[in-house]
Amino acid sequence: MTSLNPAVIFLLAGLFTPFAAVGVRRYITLAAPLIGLALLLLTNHGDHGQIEIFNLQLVTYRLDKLAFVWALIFHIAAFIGALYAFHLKDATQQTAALFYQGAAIGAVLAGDLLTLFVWWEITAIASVFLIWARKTDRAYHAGMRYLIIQIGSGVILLTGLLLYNKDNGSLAFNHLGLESLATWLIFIAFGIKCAFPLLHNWLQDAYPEATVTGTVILSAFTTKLAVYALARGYAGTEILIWIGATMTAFPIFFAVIENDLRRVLSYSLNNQLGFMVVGVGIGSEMALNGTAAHAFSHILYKALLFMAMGAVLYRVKTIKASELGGLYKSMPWTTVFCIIGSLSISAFPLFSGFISKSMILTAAAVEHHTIVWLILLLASAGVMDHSGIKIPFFAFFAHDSGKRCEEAPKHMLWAMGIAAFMCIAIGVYPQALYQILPYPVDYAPYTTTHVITQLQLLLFSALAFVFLFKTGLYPPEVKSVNLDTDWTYRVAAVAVMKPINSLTSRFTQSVFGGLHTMWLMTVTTLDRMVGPKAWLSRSLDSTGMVAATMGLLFMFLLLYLF
Amino acid sequence: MNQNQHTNNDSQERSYWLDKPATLNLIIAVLVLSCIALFAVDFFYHKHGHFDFEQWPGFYAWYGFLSYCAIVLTAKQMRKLIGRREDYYESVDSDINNEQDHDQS
Repeated sequence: MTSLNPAVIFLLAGLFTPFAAVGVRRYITLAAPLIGLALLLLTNHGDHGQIEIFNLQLVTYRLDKLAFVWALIFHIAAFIGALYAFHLKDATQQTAALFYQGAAIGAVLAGDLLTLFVWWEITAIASVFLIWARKTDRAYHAGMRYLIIQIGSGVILLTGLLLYNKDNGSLAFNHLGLESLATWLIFIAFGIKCAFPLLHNWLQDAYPEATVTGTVILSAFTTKLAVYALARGYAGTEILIWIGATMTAFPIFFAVIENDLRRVLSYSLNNQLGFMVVGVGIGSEMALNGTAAHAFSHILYKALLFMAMGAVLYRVKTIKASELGGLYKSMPWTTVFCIIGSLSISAFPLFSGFISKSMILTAAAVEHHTIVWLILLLASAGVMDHSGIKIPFFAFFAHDSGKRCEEAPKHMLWAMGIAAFMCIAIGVYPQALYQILPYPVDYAPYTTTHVITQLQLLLFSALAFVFLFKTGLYPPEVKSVNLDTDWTYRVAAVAVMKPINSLTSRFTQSVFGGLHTMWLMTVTTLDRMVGPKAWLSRSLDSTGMVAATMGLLFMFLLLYLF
Repeated sequence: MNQNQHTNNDSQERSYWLDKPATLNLIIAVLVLSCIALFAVDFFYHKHGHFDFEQWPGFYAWYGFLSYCAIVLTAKQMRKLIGRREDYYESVDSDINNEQDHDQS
């Protein structure tokens, strides 16, 4: 038995990686999740790693049933991601991935808000390198926007937790609820990372700009960490039901008309998070089980779909639906794995989505949330379109683009194969997953009613696709971008700020004679006052400095007294 | 990559089962028949639901079909409002030819 935090293994591996030889590095990235997993399985549930800093009681390693589900799937995702990225020689990406994965695991195992905050920020900083590693201007700018928003979430979290500590005298991370300004701030910080509606667009903006392997790794951690944090702190918070329902619905419209297939998957990811958020909002045992189960199966099939699209991008050099088609001839294995991912996310019987998503829908029905339930059902039909049909159809079938390429590299196929196997295994034998859920499971997914109704929903959706496609009503894939909330800060804010900026600079220019002159002035003034020739620096003893300090202290005392 | 990517209809390309129109028609026929069967099943078993409207014959079938059409056709209209040229934000440079570059250490 051990109480060594698995996150530490990832950090140590990450520190060691840049100095290791290329051939060794890739094995480090594979070994870290395995060692971490062993540690996790050998740890007794309970609080570990308690420390006290500045009178703050911190629990750096708390393992309970809720945290275990996330920690476990994070390790599996880290391993699959490392295997998929096995060809990489780029130490930056390998190091960033290890830090990112370790930080996400550390965060779900954090027992207090301060520890959570530290890991929260490390996930933000480490992950941006997976975007920047694409080494294009677009990726650089998208990464910058991503970083600002992620760090923003961290700053709000910090403000919230400091206020919370002041109010409650404790930083323990348990149920928070929307009771004070502090918990509202923490809620918003979580909401940003969870891609709540209107706070969501960093996800679709940044993830598709990351590298082939980077997007796969990104897809698993940040947002699911946020779902965990919500489940821990805000279970049963009613507003989450509506936030979640909105999240399931609106991204599907964007996904239908998006041309970049990895961006389609990012919208789809947003929609899947919605189901989990609804589960947290309902907050019953069945709903929270559903959220945990759905996070687990979602990470696998979403990674699988991103891996398949990544393999296409890797081989064909583009992932735009308008340029693709007919790739099943070149990449048959990737096609099969992608279809397994599609069947899983669409929640076909015998695939993982079927046994997890339905728990959330049933929980909504049991509590008689009729409208929410209808929205979730509509969103399920939407999933069938963008992830069930659009992704595999336009990449691998549809109109033959004439593009021929090699099959994906072996290690990528293995990574996809493992994920595909797990999608089916969970679907066929759900008890394996149900056993590790936070609460006892009283739910049977394979009833006659459920199988038949689900097949009706999905096959009639497919029929609708055939109908729309045959009649030419289905929107064609065209080269385009679609505006989303990122427009407000990429275009509108810039348009507003430009005149203000030029006005300010003209003003400063007229007063100080331009930035350059101002800069020179500052430097010369500083030099005159504290430079080598300044009177403070002239004598070798420190009389001048001491005198100045004494003067300042005296002033401070005077101000304090009056 | 060029020799791999250009359209080749030369004799070396094998013909694929899925390229034949008859295959596609077969797949569609199987789908249509499955749908008919699934709709019909509704009259022959007792459905356990939580809402009254779930008992309507073929509720899930028509809800799926109509939702799907509504989503796709609404999205199609949205394109007019939010669709922009590909180079709206920045020039189109990234996608092509830089996936191998970051392999270098």
